[in-house]
Amino acid sequence: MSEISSWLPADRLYDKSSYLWVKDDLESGNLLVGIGQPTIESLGELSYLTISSPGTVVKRGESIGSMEAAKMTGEIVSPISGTIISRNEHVLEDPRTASEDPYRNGWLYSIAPVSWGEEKSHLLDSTSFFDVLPEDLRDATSV
Amino acid sequence: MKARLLIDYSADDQFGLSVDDALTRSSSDAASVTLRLYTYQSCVLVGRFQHVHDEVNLDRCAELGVPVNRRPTGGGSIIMGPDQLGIALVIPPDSELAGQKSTSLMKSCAKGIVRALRAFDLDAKFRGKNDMVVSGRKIAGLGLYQAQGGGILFHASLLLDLDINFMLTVLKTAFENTSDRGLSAVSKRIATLRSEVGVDLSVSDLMKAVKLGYEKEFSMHLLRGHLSPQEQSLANQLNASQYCTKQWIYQSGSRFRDQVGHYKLRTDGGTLDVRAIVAKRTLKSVFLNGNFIASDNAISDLENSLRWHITDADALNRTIERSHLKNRQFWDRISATEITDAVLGAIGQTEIDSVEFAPNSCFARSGAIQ
Repeated sequence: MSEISSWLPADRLYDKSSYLWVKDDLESGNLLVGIGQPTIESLGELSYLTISSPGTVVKRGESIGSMEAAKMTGEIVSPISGTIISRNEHVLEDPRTASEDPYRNGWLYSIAPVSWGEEKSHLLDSTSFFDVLPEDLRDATSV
Repeated sequence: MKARLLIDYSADDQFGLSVDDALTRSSSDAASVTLRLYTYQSCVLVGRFQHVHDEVNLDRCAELGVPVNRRPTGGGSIIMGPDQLGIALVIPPDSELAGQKSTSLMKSCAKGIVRALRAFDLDAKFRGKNDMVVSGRKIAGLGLYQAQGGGILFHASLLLDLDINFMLTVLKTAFENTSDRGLSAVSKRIATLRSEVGVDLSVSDLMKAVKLGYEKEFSMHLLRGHLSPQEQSLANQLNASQYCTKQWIYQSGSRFRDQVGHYKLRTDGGTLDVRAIVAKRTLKSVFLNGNFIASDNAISDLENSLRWHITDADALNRTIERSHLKNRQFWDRISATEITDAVLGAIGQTEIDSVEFAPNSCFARSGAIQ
């Protein structure tokens, strides 16, 4: 288990559809959302990124932005319903930060949830998330 | 396995893009993949995050009546028309293919095209980020896009033929527009079916070969079909709300713009003339010209190894050294260090407008030609 602790930190939850992580922001009481190592491993380095403006109301499963990585473009699909409180301006200015430091300085946005109690049950802890990843991504932890 | 084949000729830019997007967004309801083979009316399509004004000669497009639009897939600007085959493979989110890493997925999806090209005795290969090459020259550009519902669009533009003069007229490329040198520089890097096969192939011939290639690769039987009413309705909706709107086509996209840097370095082996396109800390592409002697394949390998590369000097140097070492017999009196200096010089030129640049720093060597 220890080999996945830095790859998938145990202090947050993960969405098996979007591969985004969600973590309590104890200072603000909101939730931080970001990409994790499986996304980076699968898509390559992020080079372009957009995220909806603060104040945007989003439902779980809806797009709140888009990105271009080395291998793919795609929508950033929110794992949480709520109102966007802030975006990580540093990541918008330099998207590679999200790839280089995904679990600390590379968070994408902060959101005030509206159905956290219910939606939390859709998310997985790091161990369960690891188990549902495709085999080639799980193998990346041992490289 | 049965799967659907859609064929369109002369789609306009808005319809062509809307249908691909609608198929991808609707794919969660699909039982298997859809392969769409189509041609466009002549148009320019920029990549998802590109800035139209940086990429396209809009005045010339207006004069020529060439529409401009934006793809959902990434990468560079392209021209599409009757001699460029659009290939869209739409992959449902729950399929085995969709679960692959993007790198593996891109290669898997490209295999149908590789098979089709091999039917013409062309040794086609997937190369680097998103190119398919024949004899080291690009014959198709590939892209992947994942829509909100998890469906994936693999898209390729396969060159049956290419009017390079037209391309240099409507696109702002890193090459000199409409000069012999510009034509020569593009020709060295591009292959087409007609230039390689040497016969007057039709786009229908190519469609048949691609269909067969995918049928063999995925062990499936492609049956000619049509859009469902729901897909047609969504395509109409996307056409109106997205692909015919200025907000989509002319959007500013990311916070920063791509920048082009140009640098010449005189060496004992000749002048290295480098153009670099940079997006923040990503070196998107490099074009190496000049009067030095090296094989086209050595140059192509180097350019390809630097696509989508971080701009960090040490990392660049390591990559250039690897490529140079692999092809060392094909570089005549040009060292890896000199190439690195020229590439860093070009990157340095892109930084003039955005961050501090010291013209007499390590980038400016004694051989530099400003």
